Amino acid sequence: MSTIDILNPEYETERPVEVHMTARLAPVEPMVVTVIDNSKPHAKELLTYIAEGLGERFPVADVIVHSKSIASKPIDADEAEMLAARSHLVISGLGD
Amino acid sequence: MAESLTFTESDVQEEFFTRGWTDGLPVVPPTPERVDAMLAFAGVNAEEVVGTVPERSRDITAEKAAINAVMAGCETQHFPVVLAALTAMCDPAFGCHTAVTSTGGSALCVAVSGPDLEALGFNTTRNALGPGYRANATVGRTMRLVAMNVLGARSDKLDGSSIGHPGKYTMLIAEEKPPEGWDPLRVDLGYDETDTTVTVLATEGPHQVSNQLNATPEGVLATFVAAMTNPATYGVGKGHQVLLVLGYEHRRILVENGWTRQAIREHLAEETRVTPAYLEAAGIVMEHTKQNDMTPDADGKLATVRSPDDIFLITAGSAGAGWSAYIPTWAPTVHSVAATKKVQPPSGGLP
Repeated sequence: MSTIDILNPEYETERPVEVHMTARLAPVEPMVVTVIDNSKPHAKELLTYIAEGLGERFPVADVIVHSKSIASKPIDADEAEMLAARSHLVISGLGD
Repeated sequence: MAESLTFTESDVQEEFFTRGWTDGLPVVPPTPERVDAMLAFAGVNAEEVVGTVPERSRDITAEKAAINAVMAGCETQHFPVVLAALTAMCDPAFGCHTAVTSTGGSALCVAVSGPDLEALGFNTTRNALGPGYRANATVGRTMRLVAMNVLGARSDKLDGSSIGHPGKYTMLIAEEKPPEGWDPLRVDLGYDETDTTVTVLATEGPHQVSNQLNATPEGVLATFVAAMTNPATYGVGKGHQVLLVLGYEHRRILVENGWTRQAIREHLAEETRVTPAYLEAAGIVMEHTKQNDMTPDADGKLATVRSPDDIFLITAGSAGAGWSAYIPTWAPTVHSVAATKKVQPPSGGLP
């Protein structure tokens, strides 16, 4: 039975480092929630609805909507830092 | 270096299918010898990085490009064209991450322009977008295999196409020498007549444009305008780009009546402006999002292409009754724009 040597066509990575979930924090009062609207139709409405729903369960003082300029590009590092500094919880998701 | 695997020769195709490494069609087994021949012809080292897609934290190495080119059935002489096309695909302006993920489902359409494409084996005439030509079929297929295997653009991973289209298997158009008086696409784009270039666009499938009885340039262009303003095309009224494949009769009618390529682009850019009412009559809802504000301009209209430069003209196809093709990009230019790279000569290294 003849054999053939071939090369793997897929992306290959080093062995992944084991990653653990960040420790869960108790809700901070008053909690500021930021939602990242990906700027597609209805994304802002959907994510705001979810954030406001959290207010019924947790002490949410404020919900901030941060709209990206376009859906296809991620927020940059400065934007991420700014959002982290002013929020206790950030929710991102896809509206499409 | 890529992992080397040993398969029983009679089982090799099934192994590739089972591992999800193909586009659904059989492939040429990428043996180390075949891959080395690709790399040697282009003058690149296996570990050289052709391009990066930062949103996925993934590099495309020359070796992975060569492995997938072998699988697609490429000849070694076409690998420099593949490398240029992959480099263009990784240009940040092209927005590769989105183009190969979007529900819209775009092809990685390659437009090749060069002084001697026929000698390289590319078909520029009959069946210009159809089957039967190895160079056209396999260079285009390599793009998709790289997207699937290296970038994870597969239905069970990160390709979210709702419908997709057959151009996602392969889609390449090679330019036939334009008629006397017209420059080729590469010169339109600022390259030299002697260069060979590839322009990569993320596109819908080709829409055939038929006008067989009207011999006036105004009539031919009016038919193009009709094709380019179909409200069912996502980018109409939103500012996308288009590739127009000018078939034999249509380009002759235009050039013989003194229309320059720039005049054609300007005419089409203006005539494809549409009103919100036109789109609404077709059921389209105006978007007023941050990324896509469909508030009309002062003339009450919306641009389908924001600039004449967003229309790419390429001549291809054989004589017939009067056929051309319209190939729109799948999304507005805020998401993706065409990217062009020069093809290096044999042993010339990366673009």
